[in-house]
Amino acid sequence: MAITETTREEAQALALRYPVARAALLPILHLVQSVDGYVSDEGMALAAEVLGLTRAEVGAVATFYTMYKREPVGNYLLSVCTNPTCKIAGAQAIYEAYVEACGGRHVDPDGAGVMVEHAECLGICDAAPVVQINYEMYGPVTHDEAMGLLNAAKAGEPPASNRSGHVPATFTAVEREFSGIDDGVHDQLVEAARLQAAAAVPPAYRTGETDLPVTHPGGDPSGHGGAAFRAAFDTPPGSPPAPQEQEVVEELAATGTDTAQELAQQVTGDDAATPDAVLPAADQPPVVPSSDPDDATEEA
Amino acid sequence: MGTTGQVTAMSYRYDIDGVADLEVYEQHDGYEGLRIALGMEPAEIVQAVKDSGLRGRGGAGFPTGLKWSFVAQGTGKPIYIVCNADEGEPGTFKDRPLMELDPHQLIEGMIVGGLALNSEQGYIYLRGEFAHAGRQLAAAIRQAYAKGYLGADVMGSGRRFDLTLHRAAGAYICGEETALLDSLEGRRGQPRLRPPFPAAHGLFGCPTTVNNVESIAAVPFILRHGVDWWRQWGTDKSPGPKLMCISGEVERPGNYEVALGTTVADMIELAGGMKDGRELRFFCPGGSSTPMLPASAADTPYTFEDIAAEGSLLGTGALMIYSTQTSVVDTVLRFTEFYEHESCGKCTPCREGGYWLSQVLRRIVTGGGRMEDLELLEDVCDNIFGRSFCALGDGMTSPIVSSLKYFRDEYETYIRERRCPFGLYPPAPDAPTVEFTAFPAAAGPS
Repeated sequence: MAITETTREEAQALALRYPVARAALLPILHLVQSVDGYVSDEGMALAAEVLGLTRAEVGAVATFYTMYKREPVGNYLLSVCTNPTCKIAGAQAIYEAYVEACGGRHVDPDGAGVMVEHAECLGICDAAPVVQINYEMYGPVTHDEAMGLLNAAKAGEPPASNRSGHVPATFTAVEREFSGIDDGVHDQLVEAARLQAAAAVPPAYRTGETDLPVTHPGGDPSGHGGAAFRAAFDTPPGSPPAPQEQEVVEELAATGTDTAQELAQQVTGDDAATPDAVLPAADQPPVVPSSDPDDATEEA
Repeated sequence: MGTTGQVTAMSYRYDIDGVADLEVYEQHDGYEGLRIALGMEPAEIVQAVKDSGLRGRGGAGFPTGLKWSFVAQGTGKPIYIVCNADEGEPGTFKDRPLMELDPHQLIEGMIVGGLALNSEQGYIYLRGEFAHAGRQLAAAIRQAYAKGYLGADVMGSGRRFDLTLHRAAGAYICGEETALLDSLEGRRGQPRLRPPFPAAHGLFGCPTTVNNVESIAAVPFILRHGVDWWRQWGTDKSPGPKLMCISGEVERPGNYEVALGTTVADMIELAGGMKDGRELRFFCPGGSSTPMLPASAADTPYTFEDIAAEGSLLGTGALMIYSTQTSVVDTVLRFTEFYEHESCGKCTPCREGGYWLSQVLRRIVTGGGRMEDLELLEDVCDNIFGRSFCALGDGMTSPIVSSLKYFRDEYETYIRERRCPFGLYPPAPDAPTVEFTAFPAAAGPS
């Protein structure tokens, strides 16, 4: 398979579900894997083009997340949890046996094609040791059962998960599911995104609002933000929210936890660091810029 | 303190056949909390959550009602409610079963949260690896839209609420709320500088709250049954039931719902006692990032305040039980490797510290450790704790610092005997001590 016009249309459809297009990047990268079996260069280029990003920006994201694979996986990905609870139940030996069975490699293209990996905690410690095939859970498994799973996957016939009862689909089919393209509520989500983008102050960052880079200050090329956002960008934002600060701080202090104290302190300090509040009230002395080095990064 | 021990509150639908289906859910009190919420003012809902004393179930234990009251109203921006379903703290497995078995419970909670916060859009940020939970949630959301619980006219009230299921791609750090927001925006999941807080500038620069699955799912129960019902369990500061994940060396590891205030020892009994009659040696009360405690602390009531008084944290409710057959040092090494792998790389103490902690621990388990390494570990931890950008760095140091406090003798045995006393690693043939003068020298290319 390769990226086609259909892939592009589906990627554009995913972008429409979010009031700011870039939010669709993770789903689009799942979509790319569902076509190419991994995050290919072509796939990253497509994501960049659809979202108006540079390929470097997409690459930075694609290489950050464990589930985006930079080489072809084959039909089945086997993940062995090797965190302590699974490890003491025998998972480390299972993982090592998997690698040995694949000839010392992590990818074995023979048969149905498998990739093996060790995973961090898969969130099912009551079933230790746990193996996943294309993110379907199996556990607890004996060493022999685990080897049986590998062989079944290589033969293209993995059994149903003893946890969910589902037979794992192929890697590309599972990745398509993860993209959400077939979730079945597309029109509703597009309408929701459209309404948000048309809000009095639409979602997006104004320069100086956070330390995040503003990707598309005038609205992005796919039309998100757009004119409504530009108007908000040119005019000063509305009066800053004043969430009854005194009351809030008193309540925080009453809870008595360290976190609460810390947060209370930070909430009271919020004003000085929020651009909305930089203009001092008439009877207040001007806000002196903080010498705290952390604050300097806010300019980005 | 209220009653303790096992309870059936939030998990009561788990055993009902087919409750993931909307019709069955409706037959079992489903969307009753939402019906009640639709007759309340937003501030009343927030007040009810405040009165219940519900504390965040994602690890920090921050009061949920208070968090909701911070969300900026009337700014002209959309308001977002985000569900943190990126469950990944080692030892934690409570949110995934909830979403798999009773997905409408979470959807109902999201809608109620939306009403409380004047939010018309929710996102469920789901851990990517949870294929079955994603399948269940997607189907439940379809049903909820079809039946008018979601969409332009929630239950004929004229209120709008839309819900997007967003599957992530595998990064523990995205459980940190600002990293989650960055990830949801299509960026690398790295934490943000605060302030500004998400309550004012969160998702897409808009007022946002991020709450754990269990916290959100609790709200319809509180509205349906009342604050007193919720407060019949637990203590004044830690009220309510808690979904517990009991794992490790017990006979029946699994999900248990208990009243807060139940002792750790009672929970071990609930899980069938120690596996094969082994002897309890240590436990992590709330996941791998909470300091481990020795067996002598097993009579501690499981509340935020009592666990904190013992020097640890309640965390996510992930109780990990280990016996005298298990090596503390090797367990710590594996936890440390986890944090090393999951560090996002944004700040130096965590990124570099994780690497060096793993190196030193690995040297100790393979027989090359030196006594000075114990001070070295403490020193590196001291340079990470409180100096990293987010709590991941702090969490990395917890297992090391706590194990050195309670089980220093095991470290010393590894070093003195130049081998793993549990036989997990072959001793180095001549047990060489690696020359290791200073970090920069050792780090540079040879």
